[in-house]
Amino acid sequence: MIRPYGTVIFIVFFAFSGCRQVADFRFIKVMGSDSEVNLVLSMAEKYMQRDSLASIGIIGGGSGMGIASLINQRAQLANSSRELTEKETNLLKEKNIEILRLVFALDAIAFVVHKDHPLDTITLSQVSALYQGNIRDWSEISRQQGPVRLYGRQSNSGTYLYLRDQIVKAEYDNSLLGLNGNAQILEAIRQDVSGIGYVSVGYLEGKSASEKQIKVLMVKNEENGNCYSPLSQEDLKAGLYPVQRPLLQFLALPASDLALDFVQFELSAEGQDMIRKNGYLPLDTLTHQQMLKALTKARQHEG
Amino acid sequence: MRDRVNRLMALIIQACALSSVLVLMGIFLMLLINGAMLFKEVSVFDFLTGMTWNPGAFDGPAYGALSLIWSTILVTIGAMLMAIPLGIAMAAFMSEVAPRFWRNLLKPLIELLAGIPSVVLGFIGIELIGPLLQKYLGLSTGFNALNGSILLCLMALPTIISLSEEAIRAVPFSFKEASYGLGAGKWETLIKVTLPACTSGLIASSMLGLGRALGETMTVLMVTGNALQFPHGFYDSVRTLTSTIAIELGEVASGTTHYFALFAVASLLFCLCLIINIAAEAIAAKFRYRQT
Repeated sequence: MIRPYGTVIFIVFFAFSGCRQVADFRFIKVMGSDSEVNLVLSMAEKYMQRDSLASIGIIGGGSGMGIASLINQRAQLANSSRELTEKETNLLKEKNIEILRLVFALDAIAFVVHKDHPLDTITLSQVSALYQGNIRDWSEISRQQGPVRLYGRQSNSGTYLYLRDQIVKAEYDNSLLGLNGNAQILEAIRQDVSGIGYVSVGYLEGKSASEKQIKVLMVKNEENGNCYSPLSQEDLKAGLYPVQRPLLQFLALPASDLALDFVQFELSAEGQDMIRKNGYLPLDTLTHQQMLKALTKARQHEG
Repeated sequence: MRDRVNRLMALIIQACALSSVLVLMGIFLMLLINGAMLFKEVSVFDFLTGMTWNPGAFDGPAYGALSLIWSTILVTIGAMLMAIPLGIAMAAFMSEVAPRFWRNLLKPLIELLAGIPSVVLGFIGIELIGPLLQKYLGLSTGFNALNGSILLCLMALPTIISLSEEAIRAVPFSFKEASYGLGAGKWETLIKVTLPACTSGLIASSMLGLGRALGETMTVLMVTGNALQFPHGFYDSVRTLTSTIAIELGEVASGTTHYFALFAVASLLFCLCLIINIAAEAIAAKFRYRQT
C-alpha cells in the first residue's frame, strides 16, 4: 500500500538453498503496526537464519491496516498494538475467519518533548488536557511560554486509537498533526521546542535521548506523587508506568506450520530476550504460559 | 492479402484506442457508483459543506469534506502562485533570452526534475524545506500547507516550463520582426508582443501543471501534517483529498459507510481533475487554431 518512508519495510527473503523441492518452501505474510514492525522484523530475520526454507514477509503500516488485511485474507498474521474493535470482530465473524489472539510482548508509550523544554514530568490528566486542546499554551503547566503543538499519528495507527480511548478519553483536538510513524514524530520533536509527541518505547532504544535532542518525560502518578520512566525496565516490570499495553498478534486459523513455529520462536527464551534488547518488556510467567497453551491448542486445531 | 492485413491492423489499433476510453469510463463509473452509496446515509449537502472529516471519531463519525476540499485548493493555489510566474519566466528565458549553451544545459535538467519520485521530494520537504521554513519564518513546525505548496510547485514546474516554451516558440517570427521594425527592444517585444501572442498556450500549460499538482498524493501526505482542522492560511497544517484516501483506504473494510465515503472523495477529486483537463484541452485547441 501507499505508506511512505520508514513505515513500509517490505522485506521478502527468498531463500533458495540448492535445488530442493518447491514443496519445502514456505511463506507467510505478516502485516501491520508501526510500533511492532521493527521488533517483528528483527525476530523474523533471526528465525529465517535458522530455517533457510522459510520466508517471512513483514509489512508495516498501522495496526488497522494489519487487521484489515487479515479480514481481506491478504495476510496470515496481523501485528496490532490495540485490541480488535467491535466492527472488526463482526467483520471477521461475517467472513468466517477464526483467529487466535496472542500477546508476545509489553510496550509502553513514552511522551517526548524537545530537549530544551523545561518540562520533566507530566501527569495523565495533563496529557489528556493537552491532546484534547484544553491546554493550548505551555505556560499553563510549565515555565515555557507559547502555544502547544501536538504531534501524533494517523487514524490507522493502533497507538492513535489506544491513546485516544484509554488516556485522552475524548476526541483529539483537530490541530493534531497526523504523521506517518514513530520515527517521524521523533524527528519533528527534535526540531520543534513547542511540540509534544508520543512514541512506542522501542523507538527510544539505541542512541541516548540527548543525542536525539529529545527529552523523554517521566509520568507522575497523581495519587502518590511518584514519577515513573518508560525507559526503566523495573518500572515497566512492576507495572508502575501507567501507559503500558500488550503488543498483540492475531493469527488466522487454521494456521500454517511456519506461522505457528514463528510465534513459538517469539515466545521462546531467545525471542523474549530480543524483545528485552529492543526496549520492550518480555511477558510475565503467567501470560507466557497462557500463550504457550493457546499455541498448542492452535496446533491441534490444525491437526 | 495486403489489404486484409491493413484492415486487420487498423482494427487492432482501433480496439486499443477504444480500450483506454473503456478503462476511463469504467473507473469513473466505479467511483461514481460506490461514491453514490454514501448518500444513502449522509446527505450530499452535509458531505459538501460539513467542516469536519473524522470517520473514526471518538463520538461518532463525521463525513464533511469541506475542509479537505479547501485544503486541496489552498495547497494547489499556493503551488500555482509560485510555479506559474516562475515557469513562464523560465520558459521565456530559455526560448528568447538564453544563449544556446544555457538552453542545452537547462532543458535536460528540467526534464530530470520531472523524474524525481514524489517520495524523494517528500523526504526533501521533511528534512530540508520544513526546517528552513521553521528557521526563517519563525514557525514552530514545518508541517504546513506552505511546505506542500513549495514541493508541488517543484513538481508542476517541468510541465509548465516545457509546454510554455513550446507555446512561445510557436509564435511566428514575423510578429517579432514587426515589433523590432517599429523600434521595440528585445525586452519590450517579449513582454508586449510574444507573450500576449501565446497567452492561450501559456494558460493551457499552467492548467496542465495545476492538474499535476492537484492529484499528487505522496509528497503532500508526507509534509502537510494531515491535521483535521479547517485551515486558515498557509502556515496551518492541511489534509488534502488525496492524503485522506491514502491514509484511510488501508484500514477500511469494504462495504462500510467509510469505504463509500472514500469513493465519494475520490469521485470529487476525479471531477476536479477532469474539469481542469477539459478546460486545458479547450484552451489548447483554441491556441492551435490561432497558429494556423
